[in-house]
Amino acid sequence: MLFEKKKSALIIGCGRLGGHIAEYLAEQGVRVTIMDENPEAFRRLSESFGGLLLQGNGMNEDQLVRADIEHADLFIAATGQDSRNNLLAQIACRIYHVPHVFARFDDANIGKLVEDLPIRAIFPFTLSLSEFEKDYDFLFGEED
Amino acid sequence: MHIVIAGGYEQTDFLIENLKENGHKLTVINNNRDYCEKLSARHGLPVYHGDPTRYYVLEDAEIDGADVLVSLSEHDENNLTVCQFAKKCFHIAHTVCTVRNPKNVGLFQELGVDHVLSSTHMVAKFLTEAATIQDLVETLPLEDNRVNLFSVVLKGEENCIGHTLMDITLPGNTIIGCIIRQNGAMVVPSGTDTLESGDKLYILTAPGQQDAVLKALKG
Repeated sequence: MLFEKKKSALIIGCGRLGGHIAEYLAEQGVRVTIMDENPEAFRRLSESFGGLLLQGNGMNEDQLVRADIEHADLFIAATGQDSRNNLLAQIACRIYHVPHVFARFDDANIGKLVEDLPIRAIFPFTLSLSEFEKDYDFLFGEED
Repeated sequence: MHIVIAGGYEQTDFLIENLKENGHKLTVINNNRDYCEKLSARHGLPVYHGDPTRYYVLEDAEIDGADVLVSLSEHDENNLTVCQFAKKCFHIAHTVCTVRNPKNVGLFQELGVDHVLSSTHMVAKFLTEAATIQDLVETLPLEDNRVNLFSVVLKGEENCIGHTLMDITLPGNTIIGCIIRQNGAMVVPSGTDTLESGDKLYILTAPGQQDAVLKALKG
């Protein structure tokens, strides 16, 4: 893989999800840029994190251009607000044609807005619930 | 028409007042409980309390098949979400929203909102149109700026004065829609009407043609 071009990722939102994705991708050798409106949020990242940190919320398209969205291979909308993630993911996918776009949504219904688009929606609530159901079935499934 | 108004404050109040007079069926959704009560009491309307960016709130408000949805949140991204829900899940043909960031006008249209309004954007457009034209009183851009309505007052030196409209050659796609005479009389002109000093003309034209229109009037 020595000659493979390094992938680059742009992450908006350095909360728990965004922060962990940033660390994970950096470990995988991806060139990571992460943006958050609150610079305090970057304290979540480890000291060895080698990615680029930018202050901003991505709600201004210029900020995204400055963060080089045009050349990103991956885009992850991981702010705490569904509407923002919806807008960000659609900008990345429909305007800048980023090949791989992920968006985090609390409300599974908002997934309807991106279901026809090449956007991978992540629903933490649905994931937790299905984990619980899996465990529950494993523990008690045979009793019924 | 069935019109849904989601979010907003002063604008919402004003809009309800205007639309109610015209006999439209209104559905109002607002996230602020106190404001909902205020709106409901003042306008005698049912107002749904809830966050309009939530699917179930829109569902509860029974907006399916409405003719128009107007989203007036102060957060641009919320307006996009509401308008996209309206179009995709509730079969609403026309969506309208305001934006704070003027750069979102083009962006939101590209993402599927039918009409995106930004006051800053409109002021900027107005100024760029107006700044190039002398003697211009008012310019109103219409139809996403494909048509301009503007007015001009004839001061007495213009060559067109004393001529009938059919004698004056105006640029294409231009019409003098209305003349207000100095005495206040309103005339929807025909070709045989004569222009007089002190007339105020309301002219419909394509954007960028005002200079040519004024030139044609001055001669």
